[in-house]
Amino acid sequence: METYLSILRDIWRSPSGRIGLIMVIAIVLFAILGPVLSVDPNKIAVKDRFQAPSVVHLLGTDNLGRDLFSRTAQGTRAALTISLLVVALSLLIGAVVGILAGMGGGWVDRAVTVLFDIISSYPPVILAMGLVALYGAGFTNLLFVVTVLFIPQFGRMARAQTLSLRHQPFIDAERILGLPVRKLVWRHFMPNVLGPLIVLASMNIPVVITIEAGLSFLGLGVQPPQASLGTLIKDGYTFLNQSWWPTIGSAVTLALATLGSTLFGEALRDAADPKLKGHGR
Amino acid sequence: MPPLVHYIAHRLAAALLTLTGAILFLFVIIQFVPGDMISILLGPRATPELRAEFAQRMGLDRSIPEQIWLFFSRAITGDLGTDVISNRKILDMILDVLPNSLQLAGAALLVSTVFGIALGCIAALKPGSTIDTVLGVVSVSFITTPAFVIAIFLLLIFSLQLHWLPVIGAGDPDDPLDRLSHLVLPAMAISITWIGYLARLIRASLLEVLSEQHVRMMRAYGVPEVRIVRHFALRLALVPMIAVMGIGVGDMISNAVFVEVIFARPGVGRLIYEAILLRNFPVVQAGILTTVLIYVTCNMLVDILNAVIDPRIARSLKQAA
Amino acid sequence: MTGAAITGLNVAFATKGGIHHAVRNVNLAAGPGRILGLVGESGSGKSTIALALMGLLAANARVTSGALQLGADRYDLARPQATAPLRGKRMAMIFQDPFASLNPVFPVRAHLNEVLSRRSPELAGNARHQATVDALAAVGIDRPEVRVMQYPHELSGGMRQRVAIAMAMLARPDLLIADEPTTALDATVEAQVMKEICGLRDRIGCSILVITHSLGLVAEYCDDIAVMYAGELVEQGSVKAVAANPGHPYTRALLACEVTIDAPRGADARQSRFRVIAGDLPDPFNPPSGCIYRTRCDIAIADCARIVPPPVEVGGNAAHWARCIRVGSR
Repeated sequence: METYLSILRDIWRSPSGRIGLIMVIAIVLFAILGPVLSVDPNKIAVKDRFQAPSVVHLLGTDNLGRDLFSRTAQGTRAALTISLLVVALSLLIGAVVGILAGMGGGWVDRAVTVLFDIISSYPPVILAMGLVALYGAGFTNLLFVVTVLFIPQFGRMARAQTLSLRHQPFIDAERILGLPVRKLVWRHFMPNVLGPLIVLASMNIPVVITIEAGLSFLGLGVQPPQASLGTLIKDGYTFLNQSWWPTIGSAVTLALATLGSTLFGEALRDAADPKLKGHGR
Repeated sequence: MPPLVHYIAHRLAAALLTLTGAILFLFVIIQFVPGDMISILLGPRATPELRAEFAQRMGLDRSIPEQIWLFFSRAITGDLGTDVISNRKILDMILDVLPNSLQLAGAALLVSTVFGIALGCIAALKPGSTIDTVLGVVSVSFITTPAFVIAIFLLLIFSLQLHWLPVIGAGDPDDPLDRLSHLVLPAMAISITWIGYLARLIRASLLEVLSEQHVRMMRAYGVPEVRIVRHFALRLALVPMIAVMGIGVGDMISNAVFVEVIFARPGVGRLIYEAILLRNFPVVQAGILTTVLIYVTCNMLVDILNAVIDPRIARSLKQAA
Repeated sequence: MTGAAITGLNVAFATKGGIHHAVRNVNLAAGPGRILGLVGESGSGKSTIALALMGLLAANARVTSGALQLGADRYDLARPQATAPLRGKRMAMIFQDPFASLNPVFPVRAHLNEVLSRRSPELAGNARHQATVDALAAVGIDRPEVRVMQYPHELSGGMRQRVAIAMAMLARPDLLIADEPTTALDATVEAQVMKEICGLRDRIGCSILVITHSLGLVAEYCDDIAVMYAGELVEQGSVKAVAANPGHPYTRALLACEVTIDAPRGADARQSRFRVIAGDLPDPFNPPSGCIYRTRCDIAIADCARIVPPPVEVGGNAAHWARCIRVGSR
């Protein structure tokens, strides 16, 4: 526990880390509290379309008169949820597969490596688009598609960590003592592998946010009436000639979300690097 | 066989293997489509005649290995089928728009490399100064803002507001200057992210190289600082950059899709996108295969370039063999 | 040839804990064609002296005073870049880690060519290439015409250090500084590399300053020895004179610490006796008054705290001095 607290303290101490942390907290608060504090995001009032920001509509209104503040908050919520879910899922799946590959060796290891290489041989968005074309769009499909994109990264790191751990004497000792494989994985490999993976996860969150927004922008991700920062930007883009406001609010929020999580992720990596590497027995 | 030639042969073989795997992977994910495969692949125009034709062409009545062989051999030979909507050969459709995409990618690569290295060097030569901090902030903003957001803002400011540059399309094919003016904003949109990334990378790399003993040795022999940086340090500092260029190309190809859509620029990315909207999977598939081919080839070239610049790489391969 | 003399060198570092006077009032003399071994513990300031001479100190270091006399020319070391024009021409340096001395993405000949283009710009094309090959041959590298085209990673540590020596040779300096040239190499390679360095002295007659922490190395290869302790030079003289009759208590203790090959050894390692010098290095921000060594000295007296000892001649030999007011006492 103290390690985590000291990591947080280091992040706070670095100027960019502090900014990142504040931005992340602000974005999260915005996502959670935004809809609560403002007007119903789905309320259509066409006569109020394209209004500039005011006290009632803090970010203005869109082409259908909907309040942009709450819609942006909704979109942010979608972005955060998807990114956290994707990262968590791909981390877990990647970790398990990577550890098994590293431990198993032989053809299992080779097959997994080849699979990772194949997935990585596709430019990310292209693969996502292909999967969406085949399996359809929507929230759950988006989750699945983007998770697939990130599994190789986590898998490779887990495998590398496992390989370097595997030959350590304490593992041999446990095996001689008859520790079953399952326990070996959970008690020894997982804790040592998870540390660097979590750092990798935090660095990937902004990337996932960007990809989700991009796919939604193309209409291949989150579907209306669900709001995503991407769909909001798309709607705004369609009506760019008539009003800037729909685009600006969501675009700036997206940029801030990615900036904040990037700064935080990097500060986390710098703080955790020496500490987490030496973890474990 | 000199290590470099050995390395190139190895990389070539690896690239071919990866390409094979990628094609097979595409086949596999098509098989697992839930529901009626033909309807999904052909979309709303799947009339009974078209379905029969499609099933026959895909060899759906034959065994799986035969289907794999058909799929694979067609992909290799470039027989990408005929588009049911326009009745053109899909290969022609791709070749039509491919030059645009290649120009875009090439321009973006050039711009991001030149500016990324330049900014990185400036920051590294005056670490801790105001300009270094400013560049640092700028780099981070560049990296984190998504490319399509940048594209929209560029469009907004430079095209719609200031009317400096054209809004849509790729320009008149016979007028290179016109084509260039249509290239500027899209290329900028894609390269900005990468400029930020490279600037930080080069800065860190150059700072590290400049503190190494061999640089001190050159100084001890009176080599002017300018020459040390430009000739000796930079080449070594660029090695990590080349290593990430492979992923960079992948990112640029990905972002090219958005940029082509936003600027209504003909290209492979936009082709794929519009085919998805029309539920025209054969075109989507062809587009995907094209981009994968480009990506794998670029990665291979980057690896080889890496080995050319850093002679240690080819040697470690030979030793491991 | 000429000789090199350093007078009144003072180097200070600005650190978080305060100003650290790393080198205090050092006077060194390296005679023409002679090898001077500068010995001291880690942190005694010996590498700092080398860097100060070359003008390669870190940004937080400053030469507060000092001069270098190279033959008939005098250079004020307190002026930044005072010796910059000398680099690669009248002064050359060999660094400690041979694995880090050569740029890995450039072949050997690129390094040698760089020295030649500065030192002998009249050489070009074939003549220059031949000069590089000859230089490698001169330092004992086999198949020099092949090696010259190779990259550093294809050469062993010893060979890379020879390349460094070849570079120094091509520079034909008046003063060569070798900063712990063999510390990273094993014993047999050390002998070979030191042989080449001595060969350099014979070939071009330069003065050589060898910085090392190994007394054995100095005894074996150097003509003169200078002993540093905590930033101050405490003794200098010819190796023969100092070894036979050490004037400074520190030098005496160092020599006594050497474990001779035929020293009696106990069966259990704990039973073997080792001479050590009791105590620690002084606090760099708060050095003791008077003699810097007095807190660890076995013959210190009350006066040692009051007087900063001047150089005192030892054993009637003008070239051998030690900074101790009790020279000659035991």
